[in-house]
Amino acid sequence: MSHILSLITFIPLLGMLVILCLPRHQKDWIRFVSVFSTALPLALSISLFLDFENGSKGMQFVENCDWIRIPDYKLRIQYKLGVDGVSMPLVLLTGILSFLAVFASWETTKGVKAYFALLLLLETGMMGVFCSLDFFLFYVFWEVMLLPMYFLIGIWGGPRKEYAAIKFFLYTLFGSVLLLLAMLAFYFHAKENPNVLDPMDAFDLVRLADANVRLTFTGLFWQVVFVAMFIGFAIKVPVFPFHTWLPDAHVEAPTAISVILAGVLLKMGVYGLLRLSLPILPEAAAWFAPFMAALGLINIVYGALVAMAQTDLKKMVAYSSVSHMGFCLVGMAANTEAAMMGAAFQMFTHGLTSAMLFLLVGVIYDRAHHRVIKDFGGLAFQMPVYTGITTLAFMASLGLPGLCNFVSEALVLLGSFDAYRTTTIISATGIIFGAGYFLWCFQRVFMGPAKERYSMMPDVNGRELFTLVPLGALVVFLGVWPRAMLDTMTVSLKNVQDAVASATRGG
Amino acid sequence: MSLLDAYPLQHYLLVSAALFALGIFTLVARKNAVAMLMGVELILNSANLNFVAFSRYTVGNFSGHLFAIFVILLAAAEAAVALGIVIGIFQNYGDVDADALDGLKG
Amino acid sequence: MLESVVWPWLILLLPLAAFVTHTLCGAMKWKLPHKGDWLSTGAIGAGAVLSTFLFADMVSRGEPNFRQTWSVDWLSILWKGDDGQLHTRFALPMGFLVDNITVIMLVVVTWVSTLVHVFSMGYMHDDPRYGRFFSYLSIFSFSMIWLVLSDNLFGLMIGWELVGLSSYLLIGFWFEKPAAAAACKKAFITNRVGDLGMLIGILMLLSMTLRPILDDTSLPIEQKNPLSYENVFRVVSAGSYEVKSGDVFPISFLTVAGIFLFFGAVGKSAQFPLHVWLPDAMEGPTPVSALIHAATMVAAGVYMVTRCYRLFTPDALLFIAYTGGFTAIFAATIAVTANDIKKVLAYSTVSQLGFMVLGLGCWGYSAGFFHLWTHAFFKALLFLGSGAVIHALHSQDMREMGGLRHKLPITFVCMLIATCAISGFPPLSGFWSKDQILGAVLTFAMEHPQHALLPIFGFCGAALTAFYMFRLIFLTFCGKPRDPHKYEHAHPDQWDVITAPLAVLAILTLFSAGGTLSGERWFGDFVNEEQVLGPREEAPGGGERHRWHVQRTVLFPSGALVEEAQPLDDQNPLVALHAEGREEARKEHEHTEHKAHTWAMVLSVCVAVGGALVSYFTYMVPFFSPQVWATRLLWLYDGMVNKWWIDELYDRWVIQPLLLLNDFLKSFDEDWVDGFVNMTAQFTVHFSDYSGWVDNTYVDGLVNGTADTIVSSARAMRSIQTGNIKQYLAAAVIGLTVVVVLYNVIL
Repeated sequence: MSHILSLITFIPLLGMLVILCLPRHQKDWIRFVSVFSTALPLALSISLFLDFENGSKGMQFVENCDWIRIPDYKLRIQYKLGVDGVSMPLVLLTGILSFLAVFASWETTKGVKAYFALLLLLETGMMGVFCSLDFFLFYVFWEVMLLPMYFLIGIWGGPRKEYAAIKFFLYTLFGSVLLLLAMLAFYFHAKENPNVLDPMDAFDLVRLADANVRLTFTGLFWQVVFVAMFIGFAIKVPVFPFHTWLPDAHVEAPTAISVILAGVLLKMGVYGLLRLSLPILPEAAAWFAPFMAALGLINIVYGALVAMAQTDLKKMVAYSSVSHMGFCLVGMAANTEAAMMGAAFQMFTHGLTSAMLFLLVGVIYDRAHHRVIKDFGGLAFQMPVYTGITTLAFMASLGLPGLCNFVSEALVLLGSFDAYRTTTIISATGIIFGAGYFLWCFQRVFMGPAKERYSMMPDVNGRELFTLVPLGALVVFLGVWPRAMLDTMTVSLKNVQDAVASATRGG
Repeated sequence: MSLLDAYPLQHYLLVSAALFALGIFTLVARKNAVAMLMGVELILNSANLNFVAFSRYTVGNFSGHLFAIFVILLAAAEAAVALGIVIGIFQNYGDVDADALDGLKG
Repeated sequence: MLESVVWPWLILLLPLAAFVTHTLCGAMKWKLPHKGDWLSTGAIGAGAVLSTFLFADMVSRGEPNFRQTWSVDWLSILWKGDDGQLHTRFALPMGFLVDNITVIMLVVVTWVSTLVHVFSMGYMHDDPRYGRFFSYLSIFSFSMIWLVLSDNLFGLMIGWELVGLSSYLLIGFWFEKPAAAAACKKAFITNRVGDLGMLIGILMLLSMTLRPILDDTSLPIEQKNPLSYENVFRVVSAGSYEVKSGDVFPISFLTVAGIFLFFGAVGKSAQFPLHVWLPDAMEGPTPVSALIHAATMVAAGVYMVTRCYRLFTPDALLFIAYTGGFTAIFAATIAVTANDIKKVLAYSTVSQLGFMVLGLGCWGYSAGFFHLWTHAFFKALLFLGSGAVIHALHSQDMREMGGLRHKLPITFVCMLIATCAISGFPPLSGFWSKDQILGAVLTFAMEHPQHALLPIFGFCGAALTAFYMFRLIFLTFCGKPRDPHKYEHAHPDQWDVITAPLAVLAILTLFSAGGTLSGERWFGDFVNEEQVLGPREEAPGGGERHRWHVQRTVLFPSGALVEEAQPLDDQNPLVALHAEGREEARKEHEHTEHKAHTWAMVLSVCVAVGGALVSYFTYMVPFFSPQVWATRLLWLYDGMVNKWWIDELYDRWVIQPLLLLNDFLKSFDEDWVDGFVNMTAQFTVHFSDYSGWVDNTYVDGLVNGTADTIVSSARAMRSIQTGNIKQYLAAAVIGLTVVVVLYNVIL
C-alpha cells in the first residue's frame, strides 16, 4: 500500500507545525519552509498524475484503516483515501495552485508566520477533501478547510474583510450542516436495513455508490436528502441564488487567497456533486437534473450579465467565475459522456484560468492600488508583457479555441444539446456575453491613450512571471492537447454517468 | 473502716461537679485568656476525678485511673499549645482579652 | 506531391512557427534582425509557393476529384465495454482535407497574404510595433489556413474563432486610438453573435449524426467523428435522419440547422444585419484591411457555405439568397455617399460578399465561390492601392484628394484595372465571376418567378458598384487637386515594396479568371458539381444524377417549408413521378440556363457601363450635380449618409437595453439576492438580541434570584456569629443544659 495520498495531504500540515516552531521574525525561513512543504505535495501529485492508470475503473492509491470504531453502535469511521479520474486532476490542481499561492503571497508583511501556517493548513484541508473516500473524513476535511480560510480573509483582507469573512464562514457552515444531516441519513438508513448495507460501511463512499446499495435509496426521502446535499454543495459552487458570498469574499481576500478560492474551493462543490450526489443518489439526481440544468443556465447568463455591469475588476472576474461554473452544472445535468467530461474538465480549466485572472488582478492592484475599471486606460503602453499575458487569460476565459476553456465548454455544449436543447442554446449565449465583458474591460483597461498617472508603472516582475507563466503554459497545452487530461477522467466519469443513466431509464 | 465505706461515691461526684461548675464559670466569666485556660484545667480535672471515682466504685479495676493519667498528659500538651496560641495572640494584638478577639464574627 | 501530407503541414505550421518565434523573442527581449519581418514573410511566401505547386499539381493531374485526408485523434470520448476494452464512443479528430475547394482557398490566402506582407514592409515601416504587426499577420495566416484545411466542422469552428482573434488583434493594432479600440471589440463581439448561430447549427447537425455513430463499435476511429464533413454529408444525403419527437423546432430540422450554420457566415462575411463591424474595422492598418477584411477572412463565410453546400435545403438556400441579395444592394447604397476612401471600399466589400452569397443562394455554387477567387485579388489590390494613396497623402478623405494620377501613376493604373474588374467590364476577371452569379440568379428567377426581386437586387447592386467605384477613381485620381497643400507634399510613386505587390495583384486581376470566354470555364470544371455536391450515384428511377438534385427538385419544391424529410427510394411516389418527366425537365432547365446566361451577360455589361457613365457625368463632367440630387432625394440621401441608422438602431435597441439590464441585474443581485442574505443575518442578529434579553432577564434572573435569597438569609443569620468565644461557650452550656433537660423530660 503506497502512502502517497497521506503524504500529499499531511506534508503541508507538517510544514505548518515546523513554521509554528520557528521564531516570528525569521521570515525567510518561514517562506522557505512554505515553499518546500507545498513543492513536495506538488511533486507527489505530478507523480500521481504520471502513475495514474487511465483505464482502471475503481479507486487507485487506496489507503485504508479504521479511525474510529464503536462496535456497540455499529459505528465505524475509516481513514480511507483514494483517487480516481474525477479527483486526481483536482489533487494536481490543488498542488499547483497552492505552490503558486505561496509565491503570490511572498510579499505579505503582516503576520507572516500565521499567514503561511494557515495557508498550509488550508492545503491540507483541500487535499483531504479530494482524497477522502469516507463521508465522515470528507466532512472533517471540509470543515478543516473553512477555518484557515476564515482567518486568511478576515485578517489579511481588504477594507470590508470582517464582513466578507464572516459571510463566507457562516454561509459555508450552513451548507455543511445540511451535509451533516445527509451523512446521518445514510447511517440511520444502514441501521434500519443492515442486510443491504452494513452500518459499519455507512460512511464508505465506495460502498455507498455500489449498485446494490444505491438501489435502495429511492423515494421522496432521498430526494430531500439529495436537495439538502445539493444546497450544501451549491453554496460552494456557487449556484444562483447562493452565490453572493463569492464576490464579497473575492474582493476582500488577498490575491493568493482569491486564487485558491476560485481555483480550488469552488471546485469542491462540483466535486462533491460528482463524488457524492450523482453516484450515490442517481435516482434523485435524475429527478433533479432539469432543475440543475435550469440553475446552470441561470448561472451562466445571469453571472455574465452581472459581470458586465461591474465597475471593480476583481468583482467582474468573480462574477465570471459564477458564469463559468454554470457550465459544470449544465454538463452534469445533461449526463452524456461528452457533457460529463466537459463538466469535469471545466473544473480543471476554470481552475487554471481563474487563478490566472486573479493573479493578474493582484498584479495591477499592487501597482495602482485600486481596481476601478474605468479609471485605467492605455496600460498596454507601460506594461506590454502584462498586457500579453492578460490577453491570453481573457481569451482563454472567453473560450477561444486552442486554449483549454474552449475544450471544456464546447464539450458541455456538444454533450448537452440532445438532452436540453433550449437550455443549451441559451447557455451558448454566455459565450457572447463572456466576450462582451472581457473585451469591454480589456478596452477600458489596456487600450486608448496612455494616462499620465500610470506612466511610471513597472511591468510584471520575475516573481509574478513565475506564478503566471506555468499557468499560461498549461492553459495553452491543455487547449492544444486536452487528451492529456481528458483520458484520465473518462472511465471514472463513465461510471457516474452510467449510474445516473440507468436510474433515468429505470424511472 | 476503709475510705470506701466512709465516703460514698456521691461525695466525689459533688466535688467533681463543683469543680466543673467553677471551671465553666471561669471560662465564661473571665476575660483573660490565661485565666480561661485555668478554667479549662479545672474542667479537665473534674472529669479526671469522675473517672477515678467511677473506676474505683463501680468498675473495680484501674481503667479509669489510666484514663485520668492520659488526660493529665494531654492536658499538659494542650496547655502548652494553648499558651503558645495565647502568646501568638498577645504578640499580634498586644492583649489577651478574649472579648476583643472577634475575628470569626460573621 | 499531392499524396504527401507534409506539404499541407508545412503550409499550416510555417506561419505558426513564425508567430511563436516572434512571441518568444518579444518575451525574452531578443532583437530579431529587421524586427523579424523576413520571418513572417518568408513563412507565408513558402506557403504560397507550396500552395501553387499543389494547385498546379492538381490541375495538371486532370483528376478533379482528388481528396487527401489525414487526421490525428485529438479528442475522444472513450468508454469501457463489457469486454474490458476501451472503445471510442465518438471522437473529434483534427484532420486535413485537401481537395479542389481547399486548394483554391489555399492559393488565395497564401498569395494575398504574401503580397500584403511585402506591402506592409513599406507601409508599416515607421511603426514602433513593426515586429508585432508581422507576428499578428502570421497568427492570422495560420488561423486562416487551419480553417481552410480542416476536414470537419469542429475544426472549422476552431479556425473560425482563431481568425476572429487575429482580426481582433489586428484591428486593435493601434490600440491607442479609441476608435480602433472600440472597433476591434465590436468586430469580435459581432462575430461571436454569428458564431453562436453557427455553433447552434453545428449542434443541430451533431444531434442528427451522433446517434448512429455512438454504439457502432466496428467503425474505425476516422469515421467516429460525428462532425466530419464526410459523416455529416452522408447522414444528410441519406435523406432520413432521426428527429426527436416533441421537437422544439416546428419546421424542418435541416432547414433550421442550415440557416443557423449560415449565421456564422453572416457574422464573418459581414452580411446584413451583422455587417456593422466591417466598416468600423477599417480603423486597423490598411494592409490588414486588404488581407483580412477584403480578401480572406471575410471570404470564410462564403467558403463555409460552399463547403457545406450539401447541407442546405432549398428553403435555407432561399434565406441565404435573400440575405445576400439584400446585403449586396444595401451596402452599395451606403458606399455611394461615403467620403472616406477606405469606407467606400469596406461597404463595397460587404456588397460584393452579398453578391457571392446571393450566387450561392441561387444554386450557383461554383459562381459564388468563383467570385470569391477573383474578388480576393482585385479587392486586395484596391485596398493596397488605397493604402498607397493614404501612405502618400496621409489622409483618407476623398474630398482632400483629386488629380493624384500624376503623382501616383502606378497606383492609378493598378486601381483602374481593379475598378474595371469589380464593375464587371469584360474581359477582366470580375466580369466573368459576376456574370456567372447574375446568370445563376436570373436562371433561378426565371424558374421561380415569385423571386423576381433577387435579380433586381443583383443588377441594381452591380450598377451601383460601377457608379461608386468610378466615383472613387474620379474623386481620387482625376480632376484637379482639391487640397493643393497635401497634393504638393504627397510622395510620388516609385517601384518599391509598396507598388510591386500592386502590380502583381493587377496581373492576377487581369488573368485569374482565365481571361477568355472559353478559359472562363476552367473554374467551373475545377470546382465542379462533384466537388461541391459529392460524387454522382445511381439515382432512383434510373440514370445517374446527384441525390442532392433529386432531393431538391423533387421532394422540396421551392418555397414550401418542408415538414419532414422523406426517404428517396423508388417507393416514393414523387420520385417515380419525377423519373418520368426527368429528361424533359433537365432539357428545359438547360435551355433556361443558357438563355439566362446570355441575358445576364448583356445586362451586366449594360449596367456596368451605365453606372460608370453616370459617375462620369456626375463627377468628371458636371452634368448631374450631386448636391442637387442629394437635396432632391433628401430621404434617400439621409439614409445613405447615416448608413440607414443601423448602428444607432443597435445602440438604441440592443446595447443600451442590455446595459440597462446589466445594471438592473447588478442592483437586483446586490439589493435582493444579497439583500436577502444580509436580511437573514440582520434578522438573526435582532433575534439573538431579543433572546439575549430574555436570557438575561428571566433565565439568568432565576439563577441570580436563588443566589440572592441565600445571601440575604445568610446575612440575617450572621448576626448570631459574634466571634466572642465566651458567648459561644455560654450558648453551648445553655444548649447542653437544654438538651439534658429535654432528654430527661421526654424520657
